[in-house]
Amino acid sequence: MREVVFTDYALMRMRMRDITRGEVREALEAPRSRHFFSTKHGRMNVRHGLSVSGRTIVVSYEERGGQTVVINAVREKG
Amino acid sequence: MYIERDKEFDQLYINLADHSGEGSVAETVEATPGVSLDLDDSGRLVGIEITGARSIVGTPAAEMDFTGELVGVKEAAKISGKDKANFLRDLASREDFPKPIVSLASGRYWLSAEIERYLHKEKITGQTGSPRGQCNPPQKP
Repeated sequence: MREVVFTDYALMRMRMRDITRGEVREALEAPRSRHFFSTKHGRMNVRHGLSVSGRTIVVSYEERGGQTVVINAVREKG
Repeated sequence: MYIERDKEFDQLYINLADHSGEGSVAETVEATPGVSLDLDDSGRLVGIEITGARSIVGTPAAEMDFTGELVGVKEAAKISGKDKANFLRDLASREDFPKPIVSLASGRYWLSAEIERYLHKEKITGQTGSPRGQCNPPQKP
């Protein structure tokens, strides 16, 4: 798996939303679904149900220079 | 209330709470595509997030002009007209300097408006400037 890096903005959102780096990595490794957005660099959203908590998170990222740059993470209702 | 923006990835966050506490958001609801609402465990609105501001608002997050936003050491130093080292030594260390909104592993973050108010007050009244942990020496009679 590529190196995963987090933007400051993503870390702030994760802190508020109580989402850990480990949960984001879990979602990136085994997503339930993927959704591609046509942006300059190509943005991907992955949706994943966490194995421990059962919560569903959505992680937004872009691939840049051999790295996976996590730019946001959201915890969905339910 | 404060605003954060991710200029590179065109994201914007309007924090309506008076803090950005860990775990303060219980759930996130998508209001419309690209606009999400962060709610606390009582269902109260904590923040509004806009992803892809260019297409939603018509202006990229990087080009929006705000009166106050969250800034790190680099930006805070620039506002103060100092380099980072001098800002940390001469301003951020003062007892009465605005407290950071949040301190992360990546650094401290202030509200730009609070720093600007502090600098304005200092310029007008000169009533700022006690270093943290220090006090003025006693006056000799």
